[in-house]
Amino acid sequence: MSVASDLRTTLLTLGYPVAQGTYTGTATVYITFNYTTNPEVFAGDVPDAEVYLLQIHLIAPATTNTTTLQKTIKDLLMNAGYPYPTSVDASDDPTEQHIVFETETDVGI
Amino acid sequence: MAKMTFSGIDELALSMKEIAELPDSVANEMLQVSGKIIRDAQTRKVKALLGVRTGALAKAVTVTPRLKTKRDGTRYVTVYPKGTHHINPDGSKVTNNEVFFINEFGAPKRHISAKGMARAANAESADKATAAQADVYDKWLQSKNL
Repeated sequence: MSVASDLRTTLLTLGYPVAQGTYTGTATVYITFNYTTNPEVFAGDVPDAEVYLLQIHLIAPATTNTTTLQKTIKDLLMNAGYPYPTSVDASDDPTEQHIVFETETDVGI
Repeated sequence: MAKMTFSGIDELALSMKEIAELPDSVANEMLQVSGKIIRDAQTRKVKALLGVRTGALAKAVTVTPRLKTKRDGTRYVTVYPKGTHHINPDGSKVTNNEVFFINEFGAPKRHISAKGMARAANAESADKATAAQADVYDKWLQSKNL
């Protein structure tokens, strides 16, 4: 399984739509994710591992209380083996909340 | 009976105290050196992930020159995009910091995807920045004959 499909499978257990990159559906509460990668553990000039810097985005109407859901997402990620994520409120629209969770995982090359 | 004596222990104790009280000037030099490495990495990432139109956002990433201190005594400098990015038709200012933040985390309603530029740049440059700090620290230790 790839990093993306592993993460998607984990997040789908929450019962909300999950999309990599952009969500195009009609649900008002949904989760998206994206990542950048960084090579690590060099033997000579060749990396032995790749670190995936993951961002998981929870989108919901501004009026929805997502406090418990945010905690559930953090615990879910930790229990799935990811480092306990940091979270940032990146909401920029008064009608919508946008919470970003950041964690990472590494994969051998 | 044999007698063992030590000399110079007072000097060593004094030096260890000096290390514990790393001067602000050395701490600032360590942070400036590493901050510039992180700044350059963020500038490269902005150019790579957003492309270059005016280059204003990439050029705006700055290291604060003055050392700051938190309440707990932690000393730090800030790497951030300084200044105004553009002025809206209604006259309101949009700062480089706001534009960077929106691109870092995305804005779903505006169809702006998250780029994670700062995080990627910080991860990429962390080892180099730490090594640069260690170099400055090492030079300072050498100046104390340690």
